[in-house]
Amino acid sequence: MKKLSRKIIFEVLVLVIVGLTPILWFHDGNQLILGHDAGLTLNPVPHFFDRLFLWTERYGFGNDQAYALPGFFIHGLEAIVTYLGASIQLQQKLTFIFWFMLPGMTMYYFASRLAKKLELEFFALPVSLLYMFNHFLLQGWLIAERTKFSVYAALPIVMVFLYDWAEGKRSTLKTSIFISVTLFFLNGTGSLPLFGGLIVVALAFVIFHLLSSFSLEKILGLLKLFILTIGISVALHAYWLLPYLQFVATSFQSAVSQAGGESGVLGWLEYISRNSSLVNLFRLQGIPDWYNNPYHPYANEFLKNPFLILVGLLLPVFAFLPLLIYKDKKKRFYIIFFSFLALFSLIFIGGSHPPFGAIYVFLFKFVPGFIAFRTPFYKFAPALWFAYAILIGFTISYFIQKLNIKKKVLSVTFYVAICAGIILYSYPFLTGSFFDYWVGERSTKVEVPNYVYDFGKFSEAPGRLHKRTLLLPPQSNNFRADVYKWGYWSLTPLTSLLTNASFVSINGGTPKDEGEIIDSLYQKMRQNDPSWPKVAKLLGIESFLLRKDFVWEATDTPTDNPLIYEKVLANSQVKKAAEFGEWVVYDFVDESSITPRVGIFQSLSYVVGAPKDISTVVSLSTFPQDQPFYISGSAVTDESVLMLASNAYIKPECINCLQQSKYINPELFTPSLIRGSIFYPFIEIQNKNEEEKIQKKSTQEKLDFYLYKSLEDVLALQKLVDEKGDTAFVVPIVQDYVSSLSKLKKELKAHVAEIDNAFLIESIDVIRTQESTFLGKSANILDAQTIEEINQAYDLIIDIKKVINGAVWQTDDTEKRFLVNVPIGQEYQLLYRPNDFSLGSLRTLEYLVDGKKYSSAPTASESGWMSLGANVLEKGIHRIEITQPSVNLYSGPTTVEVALADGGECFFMNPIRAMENEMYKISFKHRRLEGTRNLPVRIKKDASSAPIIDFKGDVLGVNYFEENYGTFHRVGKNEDVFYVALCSDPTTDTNSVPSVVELKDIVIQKVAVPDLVLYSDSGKEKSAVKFDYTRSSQTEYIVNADLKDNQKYILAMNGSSNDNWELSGMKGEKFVINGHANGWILDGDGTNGTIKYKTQGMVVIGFAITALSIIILLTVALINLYVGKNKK
Amino acid sequence: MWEKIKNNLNKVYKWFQENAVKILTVIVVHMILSYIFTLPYINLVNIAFGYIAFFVDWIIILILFKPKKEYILKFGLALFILSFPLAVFDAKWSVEMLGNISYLMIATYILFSLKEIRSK
Repeated sequence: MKKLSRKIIFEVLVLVIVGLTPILWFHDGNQLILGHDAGLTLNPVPHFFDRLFLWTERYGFGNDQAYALPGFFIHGLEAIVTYLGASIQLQQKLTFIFWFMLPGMTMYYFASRLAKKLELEFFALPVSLLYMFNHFLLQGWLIAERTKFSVYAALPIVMVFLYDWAEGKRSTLKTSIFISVTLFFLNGTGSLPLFGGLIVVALAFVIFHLLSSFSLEKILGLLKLFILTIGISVALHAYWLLPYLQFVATSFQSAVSQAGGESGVLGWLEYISRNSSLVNLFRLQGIPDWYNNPYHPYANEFLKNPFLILVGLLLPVFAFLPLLIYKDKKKRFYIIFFSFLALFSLIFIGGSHPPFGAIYVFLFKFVPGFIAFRTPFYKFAPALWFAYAILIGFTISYFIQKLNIKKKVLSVTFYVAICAGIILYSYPFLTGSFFDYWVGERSTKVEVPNYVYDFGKFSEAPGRLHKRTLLLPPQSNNFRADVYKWGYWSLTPLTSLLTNASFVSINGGTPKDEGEIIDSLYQKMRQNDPSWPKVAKLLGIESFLLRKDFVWEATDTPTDNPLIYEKVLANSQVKKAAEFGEWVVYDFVDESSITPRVGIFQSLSYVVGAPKDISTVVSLSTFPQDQPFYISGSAVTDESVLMLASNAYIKPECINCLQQSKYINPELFTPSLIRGSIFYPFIEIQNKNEEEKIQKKSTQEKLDFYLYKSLEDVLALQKLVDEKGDTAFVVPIVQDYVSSLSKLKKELKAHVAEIDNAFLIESIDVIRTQESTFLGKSANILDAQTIEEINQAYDLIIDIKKVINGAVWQTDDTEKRFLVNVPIGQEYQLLYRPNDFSLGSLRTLEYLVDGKKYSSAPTASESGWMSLGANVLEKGIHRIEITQPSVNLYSGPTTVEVALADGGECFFMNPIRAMENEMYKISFKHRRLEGTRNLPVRIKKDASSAPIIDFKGDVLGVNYFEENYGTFHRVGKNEDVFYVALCSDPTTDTNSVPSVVELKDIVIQKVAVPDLVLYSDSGKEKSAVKFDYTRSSQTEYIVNADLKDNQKYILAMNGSSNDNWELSGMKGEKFVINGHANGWILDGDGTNGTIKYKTQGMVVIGFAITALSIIILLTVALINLYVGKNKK
Repeated sequence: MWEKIKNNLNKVYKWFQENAVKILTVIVVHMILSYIFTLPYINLVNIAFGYIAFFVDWIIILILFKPKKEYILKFGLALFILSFPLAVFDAKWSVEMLGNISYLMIATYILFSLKEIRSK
């Protein structure tokens, strides 16, 4: 017994020593693990306290963070260590040692008990080492995935309890309590998918438990255990479960759609499972990041080194060898179970990879909630690693025990070598190289500059903590990644890990409308539009943080040069507040007109438009800054809000101003079954039923139906031709098409005046697709039998185009057309901004309002706005057309002969100065005079020769007759000038002669998208409302106001709009104010009110339930202990 | 030496002679199944479960030849070693196929061993 204890002490000591491995990862005093998905913070204590609230101000205008509460223990541990005085690096070292050691220790507990039960020598230590040092954990350590480690560590303990229960050593109630308490502390931050491995192990256990001796009693026992465990767990986890359930109820669908909907998730599943073949999993590989990744720090060694390949292939041999070598029934019971578990888990880990992929996809599609397991490898793999550790432990134990009988010293040497080999097989643990997830480029091991910490302290100061700061430059549109020159790369903004202060930027979690509003502010700043301070103040932005160390020129995450913003911030309205190395803080000089966090107003501005238009409307000098605004997107009126409006701004869209056509993807509309299929009769019945149903529906629905039915018909024809189907079906399919077109034409003609303009624009694209498809395929089917039907279809296409073109309202080259939705009939000022500097100042502008012609001599004001005069408009929809000439920006001769000889040589037109996102139209006539070289048209950033290999650009056809060429160019990021070039591609033909081409009528013109705003003032008098507010916490504000009875007011809380924000003590109707914030229309009833984030109350209740549950469990435990002692 | 080779060849020949009908049955069943799974609409099953014909073959082999479960497992584990040269030369498809066969073999062994746990 004494010997055994010494052995245990020794083995635990070994585990403790190897558990100190994380110390090896930090080579420098300043190095930290930060970025990617790590979620490790630079300020653990305030961060921990912030996570106790369901509303955080760390991101944008505020965010729900119900997902954060289950991280109580993980972040609590980090907070405690830091609170006790540890530096951030020491804190990371200590907590990493804890998380690194924990799986080894829990596995040792399980394995040593099994070893004792089965009289196994040399078993527990290698099993624990295998469970600690492996490639699954190695991948997790890249981002120090503590959530994953917690469930991984819980797995062996839960199995101990389950086995004890199955063997009758512990009662069902006790077992349930023990399992629940384990999962209370090691909770995987409540992420269900992380429990995938545990669920698979539990399922395998249940199957085995029932197979060993099936009885109703056993089923009832399992059911009791399950229900009790769930019940106790729910009570213990109530502190996060209660608020989280509400979050899931409201956010599950949006989370799925954010991931690209079900199809997007399936695409992800396909990607993740690409290398999860059974053989890869058998050798404990198949980790998605390993494959086709030359930048992986170590994977390629394991995939290409023959020795490591051999070791990998020997792993399954060692794992399943115990099935052959052990004959003892007791041991075989466990060996068969773990072998079964290994095979069973492979079905899940493989995801959509064959041979079991179809089963997984089926579960994915049809089992509610299974979609959560969209990354099967990472979620289910712990079950396999758990099984392998035990099975390989059996093999090691068998051989060492055999050897030990004859040669003790040799066996011990061999044993030590095996233990060392287990660690060495996962050698990146010893070097820390696994943090460099993109070798030479990106790493989660970084050195944080001191100025970042200094800024953190500065922003945590009481005077700064509640200031709302805009981050500059913005994160890239591609990934919204926060990237710094000193190595930080993450989708989580660094500031959110540094301080609890509010920083506004667009990140992955920013709501769409809010993102559009912030983006429009960034755009205004980029353009140095004089109105940007007004927009910023209206959004409640009080400060700006310019990060000059931001990586803005990265190819995958390009954004604006910080210098652009530095110039913009050299503005008299802002002042430099502080400077910390590469980070500079700017504040507004005059803070009085900044929208407060909470405010009460008598009136608001009523804006008809989209959230992205708000910065355009705000740039008008008449737009009031001392009251909030309401954006009504589509509704003509929203009566209760309109009553409070002191003015109205209508910002109509310039219809199809960019002259871009929409691509219709034929794959989405091609029918899977067409005439000729044996199942087609069913389709015919279905079509007939649909057509009968559609007759009872609205005109718009009928039009939609026939438009897309005709598209499907023509695509059916294309399918028949492409698949070389039976030509006997050509005529019936064309007849189907003719029939659909005839019905579409009839409906269009009958209701042309009432058809929605958006539908007409959409129809143009759909009919164009139909026409090109039909033109392309009719040549293959044209014969005496089909000519009549083909002609008929052509005639119908032409007729339909005529009807649509006659009715559609959209912009052409010079006529800018708008549809204006007027909420209230009155006189409106028409304000216009051409957004085309090449025009200079316009002397006169002609425009039509509902067909009536007007002429104006506008004068440009601030921000380029022109007043066209006033017009009285009735409530309803109006058509406005403004004639805006365009200027040819090409300044060379009208006819040019271009001779290009060498590959890579280019002819450049004059440079065009442009701004990001602007659209330019390029057109010319061309005629080949000599040569046959490929001559592509390219848009280039500079006038240097083209690179030798460049496949971009449209190649001009070798045509000796004059041909037209046209294209559009949208100006990219950081592109302030571009050149239209005609280049010569390299050729291998040594006899090739120089090519000469004649270019005529060259036109480069800006496709301007002008702004039109209709403005009216109700003349309503505005007086300031006396009020004050106090901020109790980030989830509660108390408001006191002097309100008059029977008068309406607006209460605005300038935080991100969320249904959970509720007002009590005052009577108010909730609505979205300022395009993104919480607003209430008050009745003037009551003077004191509280704005509360209502689910925060659930946290309190949840913590109370959790605390009560712990007290009850402790009492039960104490009683048990007392009773047990008395019995003894 | 020659005698030994002769004896061994005789044994193999005899084995094939005795099992010719079984071997032929497996081949014919496989051909029929392979054909059936190419037929329109039935081939949809093949898209999801591409190995179903081989799986049925395996069941027939088990019924007809009744191999010892230890042999099955040994063969399944030996395939991992056999796939080593293929893995070195990055013959992904072949390695994957051998892995799938190994899975089938090990799973069969475990299935045949399940009665052991009932007797516990």
